[in-house]
Amino acid sequence: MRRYKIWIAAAVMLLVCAFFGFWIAQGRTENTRYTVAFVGKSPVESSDFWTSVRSGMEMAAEEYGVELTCCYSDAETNWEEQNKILRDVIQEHPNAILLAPASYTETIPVMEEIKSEGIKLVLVDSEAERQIQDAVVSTDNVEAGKKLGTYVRQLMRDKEGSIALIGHVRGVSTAIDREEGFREGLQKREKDIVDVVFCDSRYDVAYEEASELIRSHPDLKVIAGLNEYSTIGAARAVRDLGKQGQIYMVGIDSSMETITMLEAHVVTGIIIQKPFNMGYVAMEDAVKLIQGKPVEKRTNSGTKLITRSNLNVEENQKILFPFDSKK
Amino acid sequence: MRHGKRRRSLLGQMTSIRQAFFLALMMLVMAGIVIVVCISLRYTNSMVYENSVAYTKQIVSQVNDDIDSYIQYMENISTMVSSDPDLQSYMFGRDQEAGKRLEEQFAIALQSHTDVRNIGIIAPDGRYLINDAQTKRNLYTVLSEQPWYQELLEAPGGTALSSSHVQNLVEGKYPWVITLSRVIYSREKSSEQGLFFIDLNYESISRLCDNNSVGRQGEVFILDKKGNIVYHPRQQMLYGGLLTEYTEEIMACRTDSMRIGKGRNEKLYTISRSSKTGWTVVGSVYTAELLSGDMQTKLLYLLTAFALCAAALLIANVLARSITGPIQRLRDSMARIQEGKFDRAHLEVETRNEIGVLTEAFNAMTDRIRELMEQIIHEQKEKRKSEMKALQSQINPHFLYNTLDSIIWMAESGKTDEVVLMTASLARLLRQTIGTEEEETTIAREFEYVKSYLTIQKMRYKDKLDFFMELDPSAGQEMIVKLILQPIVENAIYHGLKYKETMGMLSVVGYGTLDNIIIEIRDNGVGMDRETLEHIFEKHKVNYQSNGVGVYNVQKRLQLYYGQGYGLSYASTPGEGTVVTVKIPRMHRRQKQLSEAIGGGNEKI
Repeated sequence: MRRYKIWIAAAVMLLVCAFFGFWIAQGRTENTRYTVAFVGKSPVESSDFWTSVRSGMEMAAEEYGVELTCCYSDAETNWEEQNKILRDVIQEHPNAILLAPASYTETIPVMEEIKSEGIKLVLVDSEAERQIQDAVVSTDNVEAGKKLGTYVRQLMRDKEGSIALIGHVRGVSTAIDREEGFREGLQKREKDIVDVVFCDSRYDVAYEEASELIRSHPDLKVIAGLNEYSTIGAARAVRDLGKQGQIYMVGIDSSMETITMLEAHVVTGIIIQKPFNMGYVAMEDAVKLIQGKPVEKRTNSGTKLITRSNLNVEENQKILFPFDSKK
Repeated sequence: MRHGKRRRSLLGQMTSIRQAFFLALMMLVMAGIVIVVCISLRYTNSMVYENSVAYTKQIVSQVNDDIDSYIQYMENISTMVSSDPDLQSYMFGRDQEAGKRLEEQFAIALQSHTDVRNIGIIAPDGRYLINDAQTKRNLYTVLSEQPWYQELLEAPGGTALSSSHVQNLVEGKYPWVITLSRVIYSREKSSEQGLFFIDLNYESISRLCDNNSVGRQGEVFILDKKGNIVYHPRQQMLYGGLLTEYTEEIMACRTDSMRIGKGRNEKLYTISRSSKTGWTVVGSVYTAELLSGDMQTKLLYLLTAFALCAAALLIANVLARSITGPIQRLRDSMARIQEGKFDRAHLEVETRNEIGVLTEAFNAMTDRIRELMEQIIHEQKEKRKSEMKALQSQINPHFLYNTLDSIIWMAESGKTDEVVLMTASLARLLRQTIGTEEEETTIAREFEYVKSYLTIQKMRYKDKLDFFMELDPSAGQEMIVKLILQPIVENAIYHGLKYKETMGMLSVVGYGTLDNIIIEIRDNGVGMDRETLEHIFEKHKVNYQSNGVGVYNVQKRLQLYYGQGYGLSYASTPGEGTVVTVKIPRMHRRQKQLSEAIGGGNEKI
């Protein structure tokens, strides 16, 4: 009997050894790559903003070993296409989806589908009417609008004139919030707003709308674009109509063209977001959610006012100009 | 008592040597393994750290050298291009042809070096050539406001290497670059001076830094003279404020490595400064990561230790058994001898060591004991034989005389038949007595003998004696010590029936039980009182009327032969008679007893 005991003890020890060995081998080979899909609302390549968002996502993806796929609808207004893309993405069943909803209301059913499939959902940049998502990473758009409004109020301190607003897409959360913030920032000068138009996030529409505004409102002193497309389209109109120096062209979001026009004094000032941070934090949140760690329900990625005079301050350059080691 | 207890060692408390041996071996091996593992763990812990620091230092200084030679290489290109006579003649002589040739040169330089973002000159009069004729200068950029240009003007050798900055010289482009610039002096008029610059993108530098990363999460980054970031693998994160490095601490650090941060965020910075570029190459690695590799090593050590322990357990067991096995066999053999089982006492001698010698001595000893025992048994047997002989009853001379007298008397009275019967009976009687040397005879023959004797006696005591004999046939073939019944019968006649007035009756009945044979000799004589009965087996009670053998001798012989528990037992009632019961074992029973008495294997003897 005692002899058996010794053999059993040895066998148990060997088994434990084998188990530990297996565990170590497992630990070494264990390399679970998460899959995360980013579904944008406009072509990434056409926009410096979204390019930066994506490079932020890519940076985090590399850091956390995530396989990132990107797809997007061809136009910001095309929520139907985005929903279709989203349903395709759900079929792939990624661990998480980063979504910039194209519509404040119409995207909600698909968001519910995503959640019911057990996929983590992080909203980037924009929001939807109902809070279905696990986390949202965006610019505080009210705050961005307010900063712009405050800046315009300061510009108009001792001047008379009317203000026109070019929004990007009617009904989108960012447009709603920014306009609200803008009006808040203007305070008493809110009464000077003569018109609010929308450009559907298209340069040409913004250009036409701005030209029309300039023509129809001779006392127009300020044009405010609410995103990259509306700002650039309007700025081009201001430049082409030779109204620079007469009209304060302000806006939200930057691109290389905006910077050039800022240098050329066509654009007076812009509120910039931090798209790289937005993308990075969104991806980081997605990974944390997959791993079951707690995340901030709402992250404000921050904004900053850039004018001609602070354009070349290094701190601002660091945010304005994307750093790319490959080019 | 207490003193003795204290002195007893731990191992001494074990009940078997094997256990003690096994335990000692295990403790020894375990202690060895534990010590080795502890030392290894301690050693690896510091060694891993030392090694990583040394390794990182090596890599970082390698990266520093690589970057130095890279910058040197770019400076060489810069020197080569800037010393081109075409550059002089275009910049100061406004030679358009030279400008064309210079453009070609730039094109070649841009084509062959993908890490060159811009290459260009700016003449004192503001004319410029950047990359090619199509590239337009950003008119809103004021050169004198650019930090890299200010640095160049202050640089003693007329050449400068900038830190990372946004190059906004080209219209619509704002890349992050490192600028290598130099002042071009006119050969004719030294007061006139232009500017030549090469903008480097991060292609080469990132490759140099990223390919040499230290550890899985480790990074190599570069700081300039002021502690600003020149290159970092996650530069955009630093710019966005998502990541911070301890740049101030690094710049303040005088040694070539430092540890900073707390807990899991503790980092090991390895620093290498370049005198050529003025830059600082820093290798950064999380100490937790260094120790994670260490953890695996530790785990491996523990695993090995565990496996060794398991192996030691088995080997200790086998060893303990191989050494204590013979001792245990010896012990078992001794136990058998204690029980008297000599047949399996002899042991095989397997080894030539002390235990082998011990076994041999033990074998010799048991052999000797066995011999002596056999001798004793033999002697005992001989002794008993002679004793038995001495105790064996002889025909009483009185009886012989009386019988012969009776025969004469009967012959004289012409009783021929009776003479024949008595003479024949006497002859059988004598024949039995002198028969053989055998100690035993069958019960049937013993009965015959008694019958002969009783026949004679009956003829002598005509009116006084009658007898009855019955023997169970199954008991007839059992053996009994010779001449047992006759003295008893004789006793019964002379002490019981002889004094009886009427006819005496004597019955001898033999039968077998399962193990024993019982023979009852019953008379209806005068019987014995209690006191006589109690002293019946005493030696001095030799009957003068018999041949002197008496009950004592019979009892002695029976018990010598069959052992205590067998023999005679008397029951008597005065005036009514006496019953003598002879109890002897059956043959098979006796054989078993014999083997038990002498020892397992001694049946042969």
